[in-house]
Amino acid sequence: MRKIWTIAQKELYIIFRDRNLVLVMMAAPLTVATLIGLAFGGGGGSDISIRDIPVAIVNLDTGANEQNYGAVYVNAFLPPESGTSAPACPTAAATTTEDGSSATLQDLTNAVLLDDAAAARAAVDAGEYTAAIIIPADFSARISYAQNKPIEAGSVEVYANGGHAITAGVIRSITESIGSQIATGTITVAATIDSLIERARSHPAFGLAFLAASQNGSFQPDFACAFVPNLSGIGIEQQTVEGRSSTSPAALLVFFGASQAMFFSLFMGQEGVNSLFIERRQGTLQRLIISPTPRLYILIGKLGGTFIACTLQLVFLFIALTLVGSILNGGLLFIWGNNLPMIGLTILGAALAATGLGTLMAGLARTPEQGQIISQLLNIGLAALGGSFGFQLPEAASRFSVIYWGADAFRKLAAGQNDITLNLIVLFAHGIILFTVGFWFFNRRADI
Amino acid sequence: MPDVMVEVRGLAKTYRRADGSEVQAVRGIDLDIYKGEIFSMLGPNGAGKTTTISMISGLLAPTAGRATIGGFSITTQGMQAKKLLGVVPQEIALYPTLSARQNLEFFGRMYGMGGRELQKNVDEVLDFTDLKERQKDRVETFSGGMKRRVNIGVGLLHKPQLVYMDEPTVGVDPQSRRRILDTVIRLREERQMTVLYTTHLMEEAQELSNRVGIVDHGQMIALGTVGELIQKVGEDDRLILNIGEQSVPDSVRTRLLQEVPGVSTIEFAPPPPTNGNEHPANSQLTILAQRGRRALPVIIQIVNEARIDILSVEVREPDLEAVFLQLTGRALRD
Ligand SMILES: Nc1ncnc2c1ncn2[C@@H]1O[C@H](COP(=O)(O)OP(=O)(O)O)[C@@H](O)[C@H]1O
Ligand SMILES: [Mg+2]
Repeated sequence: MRKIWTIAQKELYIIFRDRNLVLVMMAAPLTVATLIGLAFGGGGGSDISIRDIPVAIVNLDTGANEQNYGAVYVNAFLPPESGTSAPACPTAAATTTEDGSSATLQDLTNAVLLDDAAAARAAVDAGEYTAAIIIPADFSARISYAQNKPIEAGSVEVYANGGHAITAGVIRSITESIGSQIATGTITVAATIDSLIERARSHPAFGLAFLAASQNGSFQPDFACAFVPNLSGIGIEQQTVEGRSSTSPAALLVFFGASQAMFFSLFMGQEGVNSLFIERRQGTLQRLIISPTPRLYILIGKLGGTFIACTLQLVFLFIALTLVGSILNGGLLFIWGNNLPMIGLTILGAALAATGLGTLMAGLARTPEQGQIISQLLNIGLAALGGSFGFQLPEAASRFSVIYWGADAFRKLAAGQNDITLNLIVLFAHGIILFTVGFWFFNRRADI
Repeated sequence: MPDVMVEVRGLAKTYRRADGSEVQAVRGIDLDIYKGEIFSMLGPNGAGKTTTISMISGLLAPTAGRATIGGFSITTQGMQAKKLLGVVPQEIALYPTLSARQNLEFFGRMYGMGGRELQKNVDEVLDFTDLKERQKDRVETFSGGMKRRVNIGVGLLHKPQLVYMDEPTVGVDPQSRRRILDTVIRLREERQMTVLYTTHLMEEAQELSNRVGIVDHGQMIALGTVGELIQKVGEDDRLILNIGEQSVPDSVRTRLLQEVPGVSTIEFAPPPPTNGNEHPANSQLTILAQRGRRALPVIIQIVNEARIDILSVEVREPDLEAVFLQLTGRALRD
């Protein structure tokens, strides 16, 4: 028993010492939900606005294999030249352009293309720009043959002005998310992104989805295509929490925060289970196996650590979002409602479901890379079904996604409805079943 | 009859590759390791040393055969057997983002230690491996030699009676290597530990071991003390001729075997490939012969008559290298 706890503790220690991981798992969903709350919560009386951040882009990338990935950044931040981009989906071209009040990347920033990196840095120092995004000459070359490696977010330099910590942070996280999309191959052709942004301008709801997805580095252009018809005509007002007529920032925080938190907890679950593979690679798993510790203890310890990590992540996000909501409100506001025991129970259920899903994926995958790709696709699919990307599918479809069950429970609790028994049953059953099946597969494998 | 610490019978492992083909990595090894001795497994890369160690430490299930440690079966009484055993794996196996001390403490707990005993053992190991000053630094910031020392330290932490060390000197600078070899000897002399040491370097096996087992292609082809093994090849000397030629005609081999008394084995090693801009290195012709010094003039004459330039000649007394060469017809180093 003590050994199980020792392993779980070590697991948590390693996860929370990994600054990049903590940033992605904690800061990213928080930023997305907050940004959306800020950008769309116009009526809430808040005058904080993150728009038109002055940014300089320097693309030194010389390209590789006839691709210039650096251009993806440029096109993401600068309005595409009209007529150069072919729309990826036929429906997109047919839609009419409305008033551009959505939060697209170009509204968020005011980007300028420069040639000289040194000059750009100097201009940032002088306060002319909040940040400079500098894409190195070997950028395309490096990511071209680094397909199986994790992305090096640091390979693109974001030179920021210390005086604008928050806005610079926004730019940094956008840059990193574009980087991770390039690296995972979700965006390879600049034209696709052009058309995405074009569409984002004409459809606020889609813009939102795109912003959310681009923040968490999980957006797939083709996926967007598939959902375009459903997007038309769905306005943001229709998606707010039941029982509230206006879109207050707090309601938006609840709405997006709940699904983002659920979405990212799936990644945490996957990350935790993936550490089993990492440990095998670095030989520490073998060391554990040859110590007088039953295999079962090792597995329970590692998966238990993952479960606790997911729980802590959710707790952190819910507290942080409460604080953001309170700031926007100008006073303490429990945006998640007052039923703390139920909130706690839902968090445990969600963490269990996330760990269970991660366990199943790891149990089925033959290689860590395979596991990672499958789970990412699955997570994105569940997120799209469950409403994490800003559009809601009919409930019949959403019900297939664990994200829906979690997010729905949190929204209900926030709205003062306490009837979430079904949600809890689904979450716990989901977690326990997937965990058991995954565990069985895992334990059967001789090679872990 | 000395006490047996490790008993291995008919141990075999067949790996199945992803494409369905099979690799017979270990093909039936029998072995007894006695209490308090250093036993070396000497064999080239791919001989099956690591696979054997993995099976007798409970990491890998054998395809056939069995092993016991201190009388406990590694497969059916794993927990008892594993308590007696410390392992220093061939590859460094540590948490890179934890400090040396944290790594030691964590694995110590996995061996059931805690509290003061753990702290005392960790301090001792840090002393023993000379890592006290850097104990609080992350292992990923360490040099290769220091990582190796932590890697060894983890294996010794719970003061096992038996330790397996799998090629602990690979990729280590000469100074660190000397230190590791001294450590191994101290384990036997000061702590009366039993050590199973694997290496592909005959100098190490020769220096450290009470007994040596030579493995090749998954089989134990010879086993005994260094002296016993060398006697097996007779008192053959090894003559190493560095020559300028890229090959040696068969006629020369035949003449050497037939005309020089006492020659038993001839081995030719072509020069290693160069990067293009270097001069090609010399080839080596290795000849095993009884009373090699006396046979040398005749050998040089035969080689000269074939118009092969001899650049240098070296005569080596019998050693484990010669044993391997005679048993397999190949040199030990790849
Ligand atoms: N996991 C594995 N799958 C397939 N073949 C393996 C595996 N591990 C080792 N081998 C093969 O088994 C043989 C013995 O390897 P190993 O035990 O590592 O030798 P050594 O430690 O003596 O260098 C080699 O031919 C190696 O290629
Ligand atoms: Mg080996």
